[in-house]
Amino acid sequence: MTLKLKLRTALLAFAGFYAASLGVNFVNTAEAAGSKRICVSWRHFQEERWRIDEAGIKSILEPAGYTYVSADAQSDPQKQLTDVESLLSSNCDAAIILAQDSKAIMPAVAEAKAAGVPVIAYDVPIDSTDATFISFDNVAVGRLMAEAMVKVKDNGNWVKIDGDATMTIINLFGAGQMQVIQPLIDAGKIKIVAQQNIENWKPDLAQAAMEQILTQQNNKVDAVLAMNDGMSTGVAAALSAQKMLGIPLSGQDGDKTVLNRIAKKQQTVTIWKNSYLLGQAAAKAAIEMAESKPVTGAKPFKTESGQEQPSLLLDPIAITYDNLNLVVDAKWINKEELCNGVTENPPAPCK
Amino acid sequence: MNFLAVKFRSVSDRIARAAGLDVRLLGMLFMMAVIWLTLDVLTGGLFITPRNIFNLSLQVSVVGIMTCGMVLVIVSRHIDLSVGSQIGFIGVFGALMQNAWLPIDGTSTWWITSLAMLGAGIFIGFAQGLLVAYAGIPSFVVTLGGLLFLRNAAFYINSGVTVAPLNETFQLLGGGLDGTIGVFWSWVVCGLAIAGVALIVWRSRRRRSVHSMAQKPLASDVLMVAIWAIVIAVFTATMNGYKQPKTDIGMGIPIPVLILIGVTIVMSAVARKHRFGRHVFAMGGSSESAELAGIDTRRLTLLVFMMMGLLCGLGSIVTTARLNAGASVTGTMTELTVIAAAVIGGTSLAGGIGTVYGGIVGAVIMQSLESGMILMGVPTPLQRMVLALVLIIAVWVDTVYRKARRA
Repeated sequence: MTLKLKLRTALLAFAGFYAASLGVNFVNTAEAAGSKRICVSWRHFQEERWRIDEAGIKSILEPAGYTYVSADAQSDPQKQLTDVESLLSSNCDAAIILAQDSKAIMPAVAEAKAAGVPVIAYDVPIDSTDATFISFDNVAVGRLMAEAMVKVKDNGNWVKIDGDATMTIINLFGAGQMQVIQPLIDAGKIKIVAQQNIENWKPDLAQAAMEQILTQQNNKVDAVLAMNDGMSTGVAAALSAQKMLGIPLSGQDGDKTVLNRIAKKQQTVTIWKNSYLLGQAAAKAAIEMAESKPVTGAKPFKTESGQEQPSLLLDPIAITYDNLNLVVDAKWINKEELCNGVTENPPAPCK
Repeated sequence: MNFLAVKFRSVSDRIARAAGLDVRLLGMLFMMAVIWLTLDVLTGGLFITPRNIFNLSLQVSVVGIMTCGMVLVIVSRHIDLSVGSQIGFIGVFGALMQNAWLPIDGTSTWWITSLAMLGAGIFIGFAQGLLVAYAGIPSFVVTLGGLLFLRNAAFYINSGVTVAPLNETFQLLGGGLDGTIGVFWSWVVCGLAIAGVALIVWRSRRRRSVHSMAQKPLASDVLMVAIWAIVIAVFTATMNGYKQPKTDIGMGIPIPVLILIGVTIVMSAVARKHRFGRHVFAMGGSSESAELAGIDTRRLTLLVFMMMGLLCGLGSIVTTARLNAGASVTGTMTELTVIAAAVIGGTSLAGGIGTVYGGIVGAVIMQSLESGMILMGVPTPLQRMVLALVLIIAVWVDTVYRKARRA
């Protein structure tokens, strides 16, 4: 009896939170009707970088007289469908969608098409000819990462620390990495001695996994190919406990702590995607599409199922010890943060 | 047949009880031994090595510390879903404190930060406890709110940016390269621990003779002390047997493991001997009778949540120091690992039943499987599937065992 009651309260609580999050959404869309508007559906606004994307988008929309309207799906593909529905009903001229799930989002794309609203698949691919794909070249992310690593070490025992297995984007990163490494594996120079996917890309799990791998390999590891910076922080902690910090280690995102590690020569590379530029590119394209003009610079792109889709792919940049000035010049990080604790062999910006 | 089985069980129970042993605990330890031996075979002898046992004890420390508190929370017929978010939030808070508000190299930075992190935990527990105990909101709802609130607060207070590196003395609390007490002090701790066990057994014998109660056979007490002494000595030797990389210097017991052992001893004593613990069990068994017996159940509930918060603060110190970074995603889903450890360890979700050391064994079993499977190179999704099955089977076995005992 009491258990039933508890369950019912629990369900009610969930329903309450759900309703509350929907409510925010309605408030967002109800304001400022009647002007030119670009709608953005975020997958999960809870990460540092999306604020930068948003700033980029706004920097283009506002001077052009467009209103920015947004909703956050909080990692829930179901909620994202309702998000897009309510955004569409507020009369968008174009929709920018950062899909939580490339397939589950399809009904929303169909609905936008029916309403005559052009769709931009932002950062994450949507498998439909009706969407224009704007993203960083994710295969290039993996390729640049591996190239920077191979430059320092093109043989020996390598470990792969990959992202959450449920996210399809890791296949693109992985494909890029393999373009560089596979020939070396085939030539017998590089050996992948261990590979793990890290749930939710969590640093603490990556640390435990790396500890176990080092135990398994008796520290005979020459390089660690980690897919993002959060996980590389966990790997670095595990390496440091074995006095191995300084072996080639990769990452992605340009996290400040990682850039600091690169300045200290404790990490080899992080792939930096200036997402402000990506936001600007998407906003420009959205305005062109809203005004029924073709998107400048768009090229045909094959989707996962082989359909053709217009796309705009920006190049990411590999940040290593030698080009740390790029992130300082772009005001991504200031000198104090970058050079904190750098004592010997300072890189150019720290001199 | 059945009669014989019951007879056998009651006899074996009686022997065990006469020797002062807990049959359930023995069963769990037996399970753990089976798992360890199996993993050792499957990993080609890598599992039971000083290095892996050292890793394992470090990896289990955070979940273990929090499980000690979770057992009492569940015994009191409540739940705390916010513990994972708590360590995330408190971790970012502590890392910010060292990097932004205090001098990072200051000699006092480490303990001021640690106290502040413990304080933050107690405060969070206090706030949630008030809402549960005095506002009468179900703990499931309050702590679900806490889970969402604190995870987002962890993101918000530093816009999701990871804070690193941390103060060097603070890092020792995470058991890095220098975060152990070394060979000599490990043996000192080992000696003190064995003396402590002997003292406790001796005092219990004396108390019994003073109150002229039935005495356990002397041989069983001596055996008990001997077993403990061997376990403690083997553990210490294992920690010392793991050499620092590229040297011949033994590591010794890591600081987080000492913290975990300390917390386990204190929380076990509180749960079993102290009035607070007994009241918690009484309240968990039946809240109405506890109230009729004059226990202030509201105050007790508040205290249980504050204690949980304190242990989250401690867990957060260890995990943040170990990672040498305050990241807002730290501890995501850890609440489920902690609850699972408590439940595998025999804590009943219906309240009133559970032991702290059972929870610790539960945590060790879970972490052993996880670490062992990584050593074997098992793909991550498969690891999770195995852990899920183990959780369900463990609780099923426990249910069958309890029913059989009642029959």
